[in-house]
Amino acid sequence: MQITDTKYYHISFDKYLKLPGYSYSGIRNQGSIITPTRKMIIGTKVHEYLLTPQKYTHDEDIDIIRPLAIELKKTLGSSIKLCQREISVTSRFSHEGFTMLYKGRIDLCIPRHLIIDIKISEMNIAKSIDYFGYNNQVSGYALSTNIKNGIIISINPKTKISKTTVIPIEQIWWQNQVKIYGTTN
Amino acid sequence: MELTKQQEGWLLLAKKKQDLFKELEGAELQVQEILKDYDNLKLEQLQEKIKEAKAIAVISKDQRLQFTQFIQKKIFEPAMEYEKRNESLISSAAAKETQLRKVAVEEQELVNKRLKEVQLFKTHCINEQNRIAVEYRKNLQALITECYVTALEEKMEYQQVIDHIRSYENKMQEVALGLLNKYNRVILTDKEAIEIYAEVQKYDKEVDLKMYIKHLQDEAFVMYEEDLQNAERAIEAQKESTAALMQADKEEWELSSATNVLVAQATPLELTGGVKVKKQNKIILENSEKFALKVMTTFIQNWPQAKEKLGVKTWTKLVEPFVKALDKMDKQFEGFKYEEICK
Repeated sequence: MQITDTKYYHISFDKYLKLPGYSYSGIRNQGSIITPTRKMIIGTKVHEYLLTPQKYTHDEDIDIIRPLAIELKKTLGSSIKLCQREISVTSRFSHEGFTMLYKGRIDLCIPRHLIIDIKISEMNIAKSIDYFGYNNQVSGYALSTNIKNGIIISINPKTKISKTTVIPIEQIWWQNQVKIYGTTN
Repeated sequence: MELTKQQEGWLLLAKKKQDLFKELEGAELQVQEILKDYDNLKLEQLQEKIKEAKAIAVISKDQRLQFTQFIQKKIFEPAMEYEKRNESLISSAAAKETQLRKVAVEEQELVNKRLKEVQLFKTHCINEQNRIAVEYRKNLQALITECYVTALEEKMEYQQVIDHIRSYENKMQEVALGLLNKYNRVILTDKEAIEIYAEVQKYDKEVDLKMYIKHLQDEAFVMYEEDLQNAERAIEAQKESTAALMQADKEEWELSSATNVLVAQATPLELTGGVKVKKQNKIILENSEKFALKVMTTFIQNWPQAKEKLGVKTWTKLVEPFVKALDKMDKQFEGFKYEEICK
């Protein structure tokens, strides 16, 4: 699969949603709008507090959010200072005569070196990677940005235990998506 | 047909049961007879009749107890002994299984800790080699800059520059590699650490040394004559350029090192599953008033979450013993509704 025309954007999430292109979530949800559950809202708030703190409103959930953000920050250690946050990216993925415009929004990345995706979930991370296909999501980020390494840092909101998992970067799933959603060159 | 002793015993038991039930029936009829008109009796008469009926009921109950206790002792309890022994043996085996599982998990945790330390130590060695390389290149570059800057400052002529460059080539040859920073090992032995370190590719300074010397000889002084015309600005620019190069090199090392560390700390996706032990922290029960008070206070303090974890089916079941105790205190407490019970 060839990856070309990669562009980076430092924009808000709302503006990212308006960018053209197929994202992993968009493909997985088949374009339908998911009503966020309470757990998803908590996850979003933790992301906000850690990655875009200037936007976090310190609301009544702060007592739940803060310990999770602290634990994630500890796991990241000093590397958090080297990370770029909430980078939106678009690329053209081409495979077997088809081309698809890809878009993704990366939680954290160490430029040229590492994709870091953060997940807040009570589910065992191996199971949730298997169920939700997070390895494909991270692969999309990595392929688009030509970064060879990806990890998921997951934290259980109940136990507040975090775990880091290396994700093998693979093209196969994206090659299939290009054939489904791509247009001929 | 001749009966066995056991068969005779069963027959006797059946007869005893029949006899007992006749007695109980008889006693019940007596009680009913005594109390048949209790609605119409006056206080003293009623009290007499109740006394009489109670006396018969007590005797009847005693007779029943004798029989049922006999059954309990001779049939139920011996029958239950089998399952008690089964449960005891299974329980001991289960405890052993939990212990073995715990040991297996601890051993696996130790293996994982060891693997992790190997990964982190190897990463440390790789990062250190990279750091030493960055430091070495920085020192070489600093010498090149110094060579150029001093030439400009002293406005050296051509032949002086040649000798000047040669002296700096010698200085560059003498630059030593930095020392490795120590890694605090917990599990790995010295021998294991040496083996792991031996596997790590060592930085070969000769390649960079040749490259930097070639740069000094062929490229660094290319614009020297022109730079002499505006030496002050050229010196400033040279220093800025060098600083930027060093900073870029250092930053790249920091990014690479941070990545290596995070990846070394992570678990590969396939390393999940295996033997598991479910762990839960349980409060150790103490038989003391102080403990009881602490439990109740802590429970109340954490009421919103704690009440969700209660195993009782009704609130009444939860508070019954406490209500009984309060009733016995012979005073009425605020906030409760009371009903009068006559005895």
